[in-house]
Amino acid sequence: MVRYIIRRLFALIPVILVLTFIVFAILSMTPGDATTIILGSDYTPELGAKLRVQLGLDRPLIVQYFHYITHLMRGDFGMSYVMHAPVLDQLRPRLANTAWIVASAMFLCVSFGIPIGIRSATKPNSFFSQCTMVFGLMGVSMPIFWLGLLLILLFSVKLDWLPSSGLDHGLKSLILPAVTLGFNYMANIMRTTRSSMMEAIRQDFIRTARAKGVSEHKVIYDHALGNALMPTITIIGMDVGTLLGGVVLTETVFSIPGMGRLLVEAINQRDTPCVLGTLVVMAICVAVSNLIVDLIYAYIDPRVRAQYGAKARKA
Amino acid sequence: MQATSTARPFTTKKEFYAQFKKKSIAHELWLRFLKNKTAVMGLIIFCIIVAVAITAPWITNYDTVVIKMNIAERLQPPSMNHWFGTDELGRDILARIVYGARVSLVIGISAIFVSLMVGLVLGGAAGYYGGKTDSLIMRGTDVFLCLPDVLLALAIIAAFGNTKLNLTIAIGLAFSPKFSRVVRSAVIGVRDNEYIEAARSIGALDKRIISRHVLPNCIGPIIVQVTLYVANAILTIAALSFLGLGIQPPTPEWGNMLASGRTYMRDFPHIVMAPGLAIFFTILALNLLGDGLRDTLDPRLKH
Amino acid sequence: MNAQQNTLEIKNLTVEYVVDDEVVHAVTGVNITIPAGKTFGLVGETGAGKTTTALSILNLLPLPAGRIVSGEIFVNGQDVFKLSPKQLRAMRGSQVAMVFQDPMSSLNPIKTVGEQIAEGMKIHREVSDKEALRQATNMLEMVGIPGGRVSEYPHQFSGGMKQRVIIAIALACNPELLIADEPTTALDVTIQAQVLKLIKELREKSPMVMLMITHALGIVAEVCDFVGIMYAGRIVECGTLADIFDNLRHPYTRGLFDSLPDIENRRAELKPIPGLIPDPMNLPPGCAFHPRCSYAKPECSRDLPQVRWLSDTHYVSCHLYNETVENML
Repeated sequence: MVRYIIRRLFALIPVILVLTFIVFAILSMTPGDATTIILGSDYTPELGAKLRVQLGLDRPLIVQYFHYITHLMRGDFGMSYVMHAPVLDQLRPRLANTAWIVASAMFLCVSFGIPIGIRSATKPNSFFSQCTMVFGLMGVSMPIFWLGLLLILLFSVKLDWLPSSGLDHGLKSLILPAVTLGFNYMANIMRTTRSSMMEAIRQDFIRTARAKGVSEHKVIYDHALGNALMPTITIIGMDVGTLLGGVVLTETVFSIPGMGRLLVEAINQRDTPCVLGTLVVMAICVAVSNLIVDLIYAYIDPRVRAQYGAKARKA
Repeated sequence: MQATSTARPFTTKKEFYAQFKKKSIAHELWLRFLKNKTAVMGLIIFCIIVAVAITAPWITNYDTVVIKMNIAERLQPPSMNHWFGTDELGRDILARIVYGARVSLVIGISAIFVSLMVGLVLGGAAGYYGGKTDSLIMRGTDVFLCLPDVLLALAIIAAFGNTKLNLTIAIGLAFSPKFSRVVRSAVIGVRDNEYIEAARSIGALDKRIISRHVLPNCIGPIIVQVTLYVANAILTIAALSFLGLGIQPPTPEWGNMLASGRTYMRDFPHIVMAPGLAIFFTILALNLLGDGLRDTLDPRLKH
Repeated sequence: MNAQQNTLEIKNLTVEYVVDDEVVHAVTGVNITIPAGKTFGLVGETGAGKTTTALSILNLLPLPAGRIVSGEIFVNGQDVFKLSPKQLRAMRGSQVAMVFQDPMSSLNPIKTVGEQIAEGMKIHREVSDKEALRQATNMLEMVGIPGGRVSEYPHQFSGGMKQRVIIAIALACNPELLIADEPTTALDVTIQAQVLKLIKELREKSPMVMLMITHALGIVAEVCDFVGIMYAGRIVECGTLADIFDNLRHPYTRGLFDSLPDIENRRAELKPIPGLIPDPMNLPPGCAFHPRCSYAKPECSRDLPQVRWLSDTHYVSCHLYNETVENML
């Protein structure tokens, strides 16, 4: 099992390398001269040329990339074209903010989405279940930036219960952004949990369990859920990427100084190192979360574990 | 085969067999689809949106109503003159929504068309040939899956700028990895069927097998995903425009309408209602349609 | 037969499934009685209603479609349909156990076989986890699987082994009634023989009553004391093994035996029963077998045949025997 983890960690590295290279390559095609951005009003052609050589911008792409990666491994994300400061300095505080929002969204979604999904699977034709399906459908169709605006209108402007921007009010500030960000996600989790539970309950081994006299509660929450959890976890894991995409929008709507907003600002200002840095961090987060999902999967499903753990014996 | 009574309406073998052909598979599927009320609703809503988009030039005039500023009438709430009110520059919101539909639909559909082309080639090759080709292509898409759609599109736009063409290509490429996977699994589902082996055993060429046997049977899940991804693409366009990185004003797009209206929404909430509802209903309709298609093409899933 | 001695009594059981407003008459008016220590073989083709009958005993019909319309089932004198859910659960697995048809899907893939065997013990007996595991290991040995495999997962076992595990689960709490629903159908012939042998050995060891559901007459001959022939939801003939094998009366039973290939006479033409089993949503009027019966008379398509006792143990439900007990075939 430990070997499996280590192997997957190692497999992660080429993925991240290729990923960063692709992003690097795409961004290197940004039109306009980086030197004009850096120097701003101080720009002259000679200064620009000197800067280019200094920054290594005249070297071939591969060399530039190599340079970037070696620095990256030391934690050096380069210098922002606009802020004239290390990109890392800008990333650090923002990463924490983004992490808060994403974590609260995930927490909300999993702790509400899964139980609701399970309940509605056990009584598929009940009113509760139908409502769940409707909510699920609405939920995945809702554009979250609009939802954010609507929530602000209702809870901030009209009712004045919750703050509409920033993170200054502690936990209260997190509520609306978390709900907004997690809306699609939770609807997805509810739907998936519901359908995979329904699928699991239909299986023959559930009948075997009932025939043994197992209580209905255990049948649902142990036998069925254990098997239904796997597709649900796959979805939860896969969608971390969507959450990161959504966080850009959420931070914009709620004016939260996080990585998403940084990305948008950097793009607008053509601050390529910043854009690159943000995207790389986000990509690494997604890759790591995919890995975690795979590991959880392996832990839960003995069939997967068997492939990488003890040798499987067949009589 | 003889006609044994004068009541028989057909007299040749051809006509006799023709009566069975009428109930073709497509017809049966259509009937089954119609039984799903929510799916039909989705189809109707979507058709309305498409119809509105197509007939936009006849409904309202672009230059005078959609783009022209009319400060005197700014920020008016919904009324008989302006069903959805006016925006911060005095323009009729309904007219802008109508034209916004054109932008969203055109770019959304074209982008997914791009994804489809790429996905068919890559996914089809991966699924059909298996082995090394499969591993290689799958590794490739694996890498891209670490960058969610919005972010990848953002990266491309950051580099290449946000013209309509770039947007289409950016979003198209962003969805291609996912699409390749879908195509690949559809192909794999079909490839191992015995009729493929049968075709091969009589010497049919790969190209023929793929186009005549594999692809037609894969179409089901692919069509479902196309529908769902178009919804996603339209959402992505709106999101990008909302961030200021997609369609720029004054061209009306539902996302950028929300962005520019945002500043005024506290006192004039109507300004963010219509564009949001437009996005919501379009996506809802496509999701209903996609789910309905999925249920129609694989009824096993429902029961 | 003294009612007190009967471990299982099914009286006039009628079960329906309701699917999309259509009614499937799965089981109609079935009576089965099994005295202590005996094995009853329920024979019939697929779709005859055998599994439904079995599931009804434990009230395990798939909801919401399945509905018990009428009838009573007594296990050791207890009326199953009047039990509270708690009492019913107490009965399942301890008094009555079931072995299902498809071993491939009847085991929970994410639990070890040991856990699955021990689960029943932990519910019905007050045993510690350690003790339950130990007993589970014993059960495995009893069905011929090395005890060390108790911590392995179902996917690590072959089909025949899985079926043995299922038998181990069923017998874990020493049930008084074992219902075996086509326990060997999904297995290869050689494995079938092994599992059958195991079942016979286990039966000898303990005075267990068994309801053996099968469509194979060979298995019936090996294991059963009584036989009931089921067709389209009704029992058309029922009696001891000798009654059915040596003195069969119903045309359908005749057809079943005739359709067995004769190993001595390889060149003889096969004699299948003509036609197909009827659609349970649309049963033929009168006797459900009449469209395929070579002895059919006019009343067969109108009236349901009554049950006619030919001896103490043997009854048949056929219009041929309305007036006489002589063999009409």
